[in-house]
Amino acid sequence: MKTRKVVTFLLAVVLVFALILSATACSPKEEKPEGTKGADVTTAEGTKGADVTTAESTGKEDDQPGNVKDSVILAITGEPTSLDSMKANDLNTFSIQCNLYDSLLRQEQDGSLVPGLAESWEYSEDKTEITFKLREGVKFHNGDTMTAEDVVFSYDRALASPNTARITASMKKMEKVDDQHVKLTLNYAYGPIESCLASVNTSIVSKAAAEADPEGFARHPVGTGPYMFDSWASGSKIVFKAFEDYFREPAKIKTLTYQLVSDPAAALIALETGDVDMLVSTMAADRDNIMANKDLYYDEISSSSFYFVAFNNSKGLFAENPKLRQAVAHAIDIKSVVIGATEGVGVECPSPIPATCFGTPKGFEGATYDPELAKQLMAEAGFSDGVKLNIRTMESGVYSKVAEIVAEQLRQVGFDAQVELMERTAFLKDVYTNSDYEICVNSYTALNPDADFIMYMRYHSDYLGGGNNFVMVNNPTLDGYLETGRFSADDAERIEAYRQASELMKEEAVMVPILSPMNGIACRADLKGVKASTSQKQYVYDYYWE
Amino acid sequence: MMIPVILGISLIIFTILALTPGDPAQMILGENASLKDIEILREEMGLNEHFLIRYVKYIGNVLRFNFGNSYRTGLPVISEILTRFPNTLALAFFGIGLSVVIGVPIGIASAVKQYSIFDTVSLGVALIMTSIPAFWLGLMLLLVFSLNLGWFPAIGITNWKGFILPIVTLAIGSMAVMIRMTRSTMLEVIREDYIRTARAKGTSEGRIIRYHALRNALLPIITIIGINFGLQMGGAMICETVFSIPGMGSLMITSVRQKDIPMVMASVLFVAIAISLINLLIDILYATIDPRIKSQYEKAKR
Repeated sequence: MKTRKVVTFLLAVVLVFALILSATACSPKEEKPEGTKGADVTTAEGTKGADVTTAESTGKEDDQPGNVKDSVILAITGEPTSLDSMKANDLNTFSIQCNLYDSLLRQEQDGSLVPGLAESWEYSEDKTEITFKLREGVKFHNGDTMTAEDVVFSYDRALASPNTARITASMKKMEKVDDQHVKLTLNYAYGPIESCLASVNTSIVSKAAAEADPEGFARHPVGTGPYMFDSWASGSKIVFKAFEDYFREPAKIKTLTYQLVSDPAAALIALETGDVDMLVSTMAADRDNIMANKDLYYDEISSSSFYFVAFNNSKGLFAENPKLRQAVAHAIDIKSVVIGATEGVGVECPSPIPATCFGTPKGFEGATYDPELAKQLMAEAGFSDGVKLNIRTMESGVYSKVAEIVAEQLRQVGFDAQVELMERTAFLKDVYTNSDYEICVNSYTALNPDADFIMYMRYHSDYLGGGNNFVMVNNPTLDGYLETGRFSADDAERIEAYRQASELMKEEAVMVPILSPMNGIACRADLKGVKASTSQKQYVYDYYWE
Repeated sequence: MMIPVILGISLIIFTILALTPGDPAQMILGENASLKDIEILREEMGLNEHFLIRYVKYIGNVLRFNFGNSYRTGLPVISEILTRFPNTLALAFFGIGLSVVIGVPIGIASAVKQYSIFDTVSLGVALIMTSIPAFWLGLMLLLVFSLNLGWFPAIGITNWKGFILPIVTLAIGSMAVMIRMTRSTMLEVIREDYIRTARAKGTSEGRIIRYHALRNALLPIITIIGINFGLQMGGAMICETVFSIPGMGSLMITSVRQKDIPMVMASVLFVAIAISLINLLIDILYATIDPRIKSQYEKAKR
């Protein structure tokens, strides 16, 4: 009997213990809180562990002690879509491909455009023709020498490919003039043409290699860049080796490995143990821990993308009531959204052009945060009793947070706002392609950090509907500003046009720009030359180990 | 039985993929593409035909071992799957294996020593193991064994060492069920009359447990093993994400998100076939272990 009582008591203790444990275990399975919990443990153990690991890693990685390392392992969160330059249309793929290829021009880290494979170039009078003088003696990875035929071939390819539309839309054709010169004809004088000439999409590929194996080129690319393709273990890693016959000095880092690590917490652990040398994107929650870790180096820059609240400007509630759009604009407090959605690691974006893009109006201020004014405008529009709003957005990370905070701010002024989270493909089809929404939260990314890429096709009436101008704005004055921005070759004129466009969009409350996230990178402290880039581009040629 | 099941699965998945929103052509060209380009690509890919026609064409190709090219990479689907399949298979196999090797003996010992301290502790531990979320466990193991102790690599499976942590994570997840199931079936069996007879005959306790009791208790245990294996094949997804292992789970999720229909179909078919084969094996094992079932098959043959 006594043993029974003891056993029952013990069982009760175990049960209570189990209850408490299950309460902690049953927290919502969101990635962020778990990441913070793990990261907190890391700070405490990290400093302790770091001492142990530094000693161990120097022993682990250097085969011959005293040798400077010459390989770098980058952790990426997603594989590139392809290694073929004409198929790339997202920043991650651009960032990986920029190491394999060169274009006629090259964009340096500070944004300046310098000669790449073209030594010099000249514009025609009306700026619709550009003649390039090609550099001689440039070698491809397969040993061939670059000729004018390769350049013409590469441009023909890029122009024919639907993936490069954004970059090549202004180009008509590329022709050979002679063995040293080629001429590019444009459809219209295009302001940001030089940044397009430096893009991965217009890189020069080997005509011989691409023609020999068009399908396989995506997995066996041949370019002129500082790195050549070595191997791609699908779902696992991609390896590049330094190209010794590069037309500039060969790269200092000889082996470049892109390791796919989909979980950000695991990636940070791998960085701390030294299994990877760099993370190309960090989570906002990990920022403080990385900065506190002496073995790691952190850098950040605001990205060339931004989140915003968009209205359907041609159909529905907000199309018919401009004052209601103004009310929403004044009800949103951008500062709080930055804190709540990106943990303070993000910047306010008052205009529809992110701060790092050329053409962004300096000192621009968006709609003031004025809840009283918002309520007044609602009453003037005839909705003093409030109105039901369904904010549609995608279910992932930052989108849902932005939407929730905005919804709460709208409720404060009397809107009955609900958030509808949609799966990405469903959102793309309903909201983006068919404009089936009244109000939504979305984001744009500028593929090139220039205002034209994030303005023209998005707000010009020529592109109404169908996935580009999905906010359905049709305003001839705005069209005019956007056209000046696109076709003018005078920088000052372009900047002024974009300022006027931003002002007009603010007056009409076409949409409400909110914030730009930060692009953060983290790497081992002895890897130098690493800088955060607004387009997430990592040009490994500049890196070296100390 | 297997063939109609696999055909049925393929039809259901294909229908779901066809009916859910999302346009593969748009996924390939990206958000910046114009509607015109998307439409041209759809024509090229044959997406505008009725989905039943597309299904029949697909099955026709499959029977000739042509699984098509992935929409995402443009490469044959089969090469990608053959790279990833062994990883998931190995993970599932060793994970379940470990949980059986540790869980079943613990369950037996628990049953034999019912209500003892050992029993209570093992039940408590089993409960803890079920309650732990898999990815938290994976991350904690990574932190302790990889970061702090440096015994195992943090990512990937370049050598056998990389397999240990994910296998342990998987095993802990399924061990609890193994322990409890073994314990309860053993308890039932131990109370049976034939065990009493065996004891009366003077057989050693050890032989009774190992030979008589265990064989009878084994049937439900093997069923659980079969089911668990199926579950792990379908998605040691969490393990694959945390430990960066290229496996079927992450492949399927990425492909579904991108509406890479050939890849999804082929992955599902592969996994379905693997699970069906395992279950077939389990059925055969039943016959080997239980003479009653074996005689049923033999009777049916006559």
